[in-house]
Amino acid sequence: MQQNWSRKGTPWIWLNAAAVALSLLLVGSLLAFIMVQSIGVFWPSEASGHFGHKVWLYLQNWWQFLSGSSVEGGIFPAILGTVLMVLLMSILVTPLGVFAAVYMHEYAKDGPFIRLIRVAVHNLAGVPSIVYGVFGLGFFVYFLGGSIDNLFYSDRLPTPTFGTPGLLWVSLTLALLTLPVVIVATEQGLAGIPKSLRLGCFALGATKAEVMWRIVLPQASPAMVTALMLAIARAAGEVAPLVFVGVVGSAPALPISTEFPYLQLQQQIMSLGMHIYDAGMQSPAAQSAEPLVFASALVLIVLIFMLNFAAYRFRKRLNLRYRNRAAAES
Amino acid sequence: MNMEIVAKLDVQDLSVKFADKTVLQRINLRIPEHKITAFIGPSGCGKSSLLRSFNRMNELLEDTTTTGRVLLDGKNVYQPDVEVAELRRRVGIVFQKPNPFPHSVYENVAFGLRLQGIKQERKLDELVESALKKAALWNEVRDRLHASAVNLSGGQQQRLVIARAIAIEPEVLLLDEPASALDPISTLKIEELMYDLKQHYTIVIVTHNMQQAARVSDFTAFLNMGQLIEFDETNKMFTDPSQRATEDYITGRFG
Repeated sequence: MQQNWSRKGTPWIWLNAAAVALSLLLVGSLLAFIMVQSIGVFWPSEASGHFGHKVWLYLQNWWQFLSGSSVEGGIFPAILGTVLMVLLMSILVTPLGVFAAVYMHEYAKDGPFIRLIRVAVHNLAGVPSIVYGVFGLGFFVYFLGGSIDNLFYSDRLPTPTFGTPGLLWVSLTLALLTLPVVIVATEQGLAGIPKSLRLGCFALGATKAEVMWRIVLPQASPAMVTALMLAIARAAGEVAPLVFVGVVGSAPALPISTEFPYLQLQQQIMSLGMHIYDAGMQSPAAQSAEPLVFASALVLIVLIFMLNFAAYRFRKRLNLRYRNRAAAES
Repeated sequence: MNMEIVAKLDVQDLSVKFADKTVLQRINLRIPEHKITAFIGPSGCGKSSLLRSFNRMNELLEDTTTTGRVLLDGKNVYQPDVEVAELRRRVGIVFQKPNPFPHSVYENVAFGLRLQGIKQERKLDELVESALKKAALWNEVRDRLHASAVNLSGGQQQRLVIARAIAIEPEVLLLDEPASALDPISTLKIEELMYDLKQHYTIVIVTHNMQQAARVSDFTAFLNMGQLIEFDETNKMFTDPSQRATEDYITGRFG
């Protein structure tokens, strides 16, 4: 009986189930902790009237927190900064990562050289993010930004325009940081496309470029969205490397304007991650700011969730368009 | 053998190597136009490689070296100035396992047409319908042209792939064991289809099935270990083969 029990693999299953349960418990308690800490922050004091009025005040407080400027104690500049840097990063990293993956997987001849590059890309994913920050400062800000200033803004020197930390360099640094993730995930997507589909396309007289555009890239598009989701999740919470290249605790102005070009790429920005660090550790009233730190953390989590959800919906739509791929492989 | 017949494909001294392994040795063969030619032989004899060398599919598969010539209407397809995509448009191929694209039935057949730059909806509709009719599939899919091709049965998928191949009007149709993954009824349909198609196309089929070769083909080539053992009219091959090895194989004594 005992032997039978273990031969069925029951202890093994329980071990796995326990690991899952523990992971869930840890993640769940993290979320619950932040919720509990932040959910009551804006609940009005006892003396402010009946319950309905309190709820109204509570929501108002949240709204002020989310939409107010830094001076008003709000985090709108930090939310905007985070969203902008992540969106710009996505625009930069997606084509770069996808084309790099396509080249490596589809065009480059497999050999020691391409294998070396692949190993290098995988290793890049493990480089500590602070290193990217230092690189961003040296290469993007001083070298690239300095050159741009010398070439196009020499009349304003010695006041730097692009030769100083700013939104563009933040996004570029993030793009660099997430590039390995995008390349690896896209390459895996490309590897998953059945060879028979490519051959079928060649057999109809398609050139290599036509096979790429009509079969391979559309088929790999869900993998590309997955890659982008991973990149967004990684980028939105980064703080340390970005301090070097343009994220500050308190920026004098928003990086957007009502006049062309609407986006001030050279402007320093605030971000939620930075705000959490700054309010929690750096402000003179850190103790009293603690509940607001948790509220900011909650906002950051919700924001990443929303960005990921948007990407997920997009992927689902793509999957629906090519929904029978799994069946085609079988 | 009757040599009056026009040769669509003329194989001269063709040798194929995969990496260091020789799979075909100095093959000489003339494939007659508007006939069905069957390649038979034991597994690994090189019959599929020979078939794929006609439209240069081998070079997509492995590290291949090809020497010798394959003349299509007198012109060597291995000449450097030959455009491979154009060659494959003229010499279509259908593989053993049906490989429909994960698109609709309609888009599968229209795929090759669109590659050629045909855009007008009405023209596409016409050509798709006629290809599906030629492939004996129209009656089964006419009501679900825009449903996914992957939901069709295996036999329907294979006929769809044939429709896709003939939609672009190739001159030669290569079939690499097209029925080996199908049930007997689907196989029968494919065989009937081949019979209709040979009016317009030159067909070359690789098969493991002796009866199938005897039923459908006009000519048969027997290959063994990378060499062409015998090539003759199918009737002659199956009744009075000139080589001992051919007789042994056909009668099932080896292979």
